[in-house]
Amino acid sequence: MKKILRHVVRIDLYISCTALAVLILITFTGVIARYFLNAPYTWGEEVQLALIVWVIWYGASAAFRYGNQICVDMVVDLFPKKVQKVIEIVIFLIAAVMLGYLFSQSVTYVSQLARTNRTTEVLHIPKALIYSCMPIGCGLMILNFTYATWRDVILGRGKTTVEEAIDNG
Amino acid sequence: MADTVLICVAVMLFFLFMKMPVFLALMSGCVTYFVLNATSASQIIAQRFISGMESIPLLAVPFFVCAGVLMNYTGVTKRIMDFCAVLTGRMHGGLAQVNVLLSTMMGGLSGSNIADAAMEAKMLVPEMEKKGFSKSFSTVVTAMSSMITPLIPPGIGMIVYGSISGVSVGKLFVSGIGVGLLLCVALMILVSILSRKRGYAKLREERITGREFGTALRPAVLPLCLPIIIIGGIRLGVFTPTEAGSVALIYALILGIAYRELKLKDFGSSMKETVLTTSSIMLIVGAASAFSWVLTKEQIPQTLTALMMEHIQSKYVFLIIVNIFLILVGMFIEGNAALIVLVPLLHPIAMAYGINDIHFAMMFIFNITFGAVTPPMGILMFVTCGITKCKIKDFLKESLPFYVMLIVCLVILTFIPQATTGLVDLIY
Repeated sequence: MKKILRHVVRIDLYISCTALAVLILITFTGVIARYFLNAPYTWGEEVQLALIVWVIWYGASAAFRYGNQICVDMVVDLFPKKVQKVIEIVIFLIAAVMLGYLFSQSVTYVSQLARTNRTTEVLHIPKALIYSCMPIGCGLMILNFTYATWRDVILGRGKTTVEEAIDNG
Repeated sequence: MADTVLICVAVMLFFLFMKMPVFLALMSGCVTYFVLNATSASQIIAQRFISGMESIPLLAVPFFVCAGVLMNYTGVTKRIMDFCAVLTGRMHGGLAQVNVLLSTMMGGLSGSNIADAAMEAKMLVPEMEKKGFSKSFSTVVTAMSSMITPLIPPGIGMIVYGSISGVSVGKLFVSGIGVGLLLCVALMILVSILSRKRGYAKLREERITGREFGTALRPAVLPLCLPIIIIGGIRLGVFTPTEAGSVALIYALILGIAYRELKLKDFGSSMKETVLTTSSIMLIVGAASAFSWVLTKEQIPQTLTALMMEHIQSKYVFLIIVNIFLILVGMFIEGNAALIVLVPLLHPIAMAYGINDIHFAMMFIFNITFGAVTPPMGILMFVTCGITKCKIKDFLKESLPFYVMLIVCLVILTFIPQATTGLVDLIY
């Protein structure tokens, strides 16, 4: 059970890594197809662009969990420990609201694309499907950011990953 | 209208320094704009955010990051280090010279200087201390030499600059070789002078035999071919810079398998590392392009160009002002974010002054990298000091001659356009 749960939690990372692997494969074989076989992929570019946004938005939520988001801690570190905690929680709340804002804006944008039936030019993949990763990614980022803040600031556990946390119950 | 933008920038900077993730701090600037300016359709923020990431040139970022990560797992680094040790063996400051040369060669394999700095701080600094170098000197040399990595192609800064301004990434790569080598030579001269003064030993006294050179070169030859394949392939039109990234990656993979050092587990962890690094970089790219949309909508680039042209006649005065401004920006703001917000502002002005686009681009990238080794936000400084446990105070004291050297390099780059464009003219 725990094992299954562990993989469910990591699903964002799995999606992101798979998208990256496919992206690498398409780009590399694209060179061979065009230069050596004289048969370029007509759909190459649009699939590449669709894949990269999936890599980014699913990877972004994992980046919160693993503490990979880039931030400037120089100034905050000058304050006493207790003040630091307060600042981090306040900033977390503001950031969460902002992610929520981005979530709602992207929902509007994606539903607009769905209503107008916009698709890509060659393969006719619905744009709404491609960009669905944005609201989903924002949602997952809020969850993972909440989890990371709870883990690091409130429990003060430092860098345990969510997988270990589940293992430890 | 300019007041609205000023408020947005102030909000953005405030959150940036309050430990908010950089991409959210940038977004806070846009959100402020839409709050103050209720007339604009606000879902444009989502659209700009995602379309800023959807760029074929930027695809090269994950590819080169992944290639660099893979190289670390394939034992390539160790092979190149042995080769460097033979090359620099008889110079003053033995291992410090190895450190500089290793960064230069690794620059041709990976686009990220942070990974490079961390690797050298772990591998070389303990060795240097054993040979009698002081901790602060070893740490400073490691951090400074890692500045070369993003200048030698492939470099993420050049890819991002090219994708925003439309300057050819291939030409920037070629120009980067010259600039990277300039910095490499300058560092080696400085290290040699300092080592001689302090009596840091050479690695060896006896001459290097041809056979010894051959033995050291053989394992390093295949990895060192990669930069040639990349530049050659782009120049001959076999592949685009983006595709070059995927070629580099497959090449690294094949090397790893051929050397029998890459395990399936390592492949998994390098994919994970790539995905995490890529998405944190690209989110900043997306948010920064949303913010630069705000600047464009408010016609800030045009206003700024007009203002500059009106008050400053000489292009050299303009270049000096830009240099000072960029060093200050680089000290406080993450490199990629600075590139995306500032290139659309400054690039057109430079063009209006008739400055060569490659020249300006390389100067820009050099300045932004400079910020990585200066306080208060120098990422290379923190990474290396964090690993070697060197005190920031000692680091800064030891850095002074290096800062002077960097400024000399910057002056050369600024006032001698041939330093950046010479190689491009030769190859293109």
